[in-house]
Amino acid sequence: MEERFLTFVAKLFNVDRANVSLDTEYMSLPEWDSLMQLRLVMEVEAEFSCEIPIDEVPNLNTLRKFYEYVE
Amino acid sequence: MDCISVLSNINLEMLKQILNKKYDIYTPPGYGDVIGELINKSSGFYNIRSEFCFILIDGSDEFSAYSECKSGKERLDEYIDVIEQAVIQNREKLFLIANMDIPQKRIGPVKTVRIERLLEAYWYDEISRLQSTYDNAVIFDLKNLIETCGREDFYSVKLWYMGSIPYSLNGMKLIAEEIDSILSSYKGKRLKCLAIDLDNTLWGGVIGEEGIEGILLSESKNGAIYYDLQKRIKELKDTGAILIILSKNNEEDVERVFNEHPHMVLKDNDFVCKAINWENKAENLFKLTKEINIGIDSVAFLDDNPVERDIMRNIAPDVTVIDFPNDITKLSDTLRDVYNKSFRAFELTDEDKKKTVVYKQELTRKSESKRFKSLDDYIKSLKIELDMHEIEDSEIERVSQLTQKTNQFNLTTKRYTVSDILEMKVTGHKIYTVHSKDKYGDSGLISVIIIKVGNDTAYIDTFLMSCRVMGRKIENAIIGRLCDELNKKGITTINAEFIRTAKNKPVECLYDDLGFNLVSENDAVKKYIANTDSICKYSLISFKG
Repeated sequence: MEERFLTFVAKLFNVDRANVSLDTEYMSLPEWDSLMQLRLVMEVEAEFSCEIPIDEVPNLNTLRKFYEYVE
Repeated sequence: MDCISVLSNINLEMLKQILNKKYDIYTPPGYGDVIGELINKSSGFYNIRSEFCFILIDGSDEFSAYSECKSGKERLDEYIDVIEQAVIQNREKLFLIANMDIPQKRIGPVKTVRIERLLEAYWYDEISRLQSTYDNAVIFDLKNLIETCGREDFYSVKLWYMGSIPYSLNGMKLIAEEIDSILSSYKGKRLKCLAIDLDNTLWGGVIGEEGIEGILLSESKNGAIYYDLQKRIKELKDTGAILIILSKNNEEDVERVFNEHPHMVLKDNDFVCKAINWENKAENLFKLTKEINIGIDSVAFLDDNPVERDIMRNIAPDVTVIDFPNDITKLSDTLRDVYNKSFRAFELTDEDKKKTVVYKQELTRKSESKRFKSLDDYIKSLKIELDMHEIEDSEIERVSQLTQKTNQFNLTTKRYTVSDILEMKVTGHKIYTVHSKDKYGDSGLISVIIIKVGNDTAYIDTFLMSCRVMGRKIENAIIGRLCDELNKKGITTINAEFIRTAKNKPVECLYDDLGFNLVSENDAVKKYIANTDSICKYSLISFKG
């Protein structure tokens, strides 16, 4: 599942899979900006059929925190 | 890459992200200020060379707030005024202007007049006026996208509250697809021909087994599945696509259906040609496309039989094989989607309307030509008359269309939009169109020549001809006439080029054959020069005027 998640995110960011891990931080990649943060929420929700509460969104500063909703 | 300016009163950065893969997208810094961007002549909109401008005034926030109609209309007037000015001042840009969807957010009684509806209608009237007044304005049917998808899915309350973005990801993707589809049709990228199977495709059942009374085709109930499909196919034909039949059947059985079945929407003469036999459909398609002179890659194939579709994919991989729906009630919708994706016409030209007739005439000419001893005899018998003149305004759309889609007889294959043509008209180019008719009928506008003229030299920027009329030395007559006219105007030298593409091999030696001198040659380009008085006129074809 972790692999599927990271592959999905890498594809969305349009970067190599090797460039992302669960510890990747918000803004550490130029691709992960504030707009991508919103897109990530929507894309992850749709792809993994989960729901990320809106008040949690500002706290999602690593990919691991997103992944917690996927699991 | 083509560049699109995207102007909106809402945040469309996500749309930009989606479209970025295929287009250069300009959005103003910050967002929301459409009026400021259009009024300020030093804004990015005026300084970036974009061929297209997409304007979306979203109604879901700004216009669901008005509690009385008058002030809402006043605000819409402000928008329409600056948009209209921009359309007038940027005739070289194509403006896609979205209609408006205003969801009802406010709470109110049952018996009430909804301002939202009035404003939507008011905006639609105004942008319709722009579309009918200006060639470079076209309505973008946002509301249709929203209605098909449903507001629930098209909007995202969550994105709205997180980032002031009203539309969902899916909504944005639908907008991006529609923009892409409109621009493709504007650039004339469309297929030419639909090849259709008969049994279980145009009607239900197998005619050879069930007979004319047994097949399923009627105006209501389940026979209407096929009746409706036929209506869509007829509409497709009316937009300028041509139809051919590929069917494994007995010809007499099929003839009976066309002649006697009361609910056949499509008639025998809606089809340019047919292959009704027991041979391989792909081989048949190769033969037919060769006969009517169209590329096999400009054909889509509709057949209910997965085996036939597979064979077609394998033998003729360039053919667009349509995914036949498992649920046949979706047949009519499938054809509509195929149209939108691959056949969509931007605007109907007169040539589009008579396509089928013209192709059929061509087939008659071909069969006649076999009776003659020499090509010259045949050409003489056709009594061809050409009408060659400088481009008229009514022809611009068709000329652009021809530059976009002519592949075989196209010496330089330069693709031009309507706005490119308008620009060339004012920058020292001469654009000629040639119309052809003969004893079988009128072929319409069949050739375009674009010349850049200097003091005593001219350069042939574009020379293309519809492949329907190839093989009749019309090209000899055209170039002969052109050189004669240039010579009379004191232009003594003419330069020309053949730029090689994957498809224009039929004309690689054209200029050699016409008597031009080869100056240089490499894999990509052959350059030629000629004296305008040394190119012979071709006497077997006459000119009007």
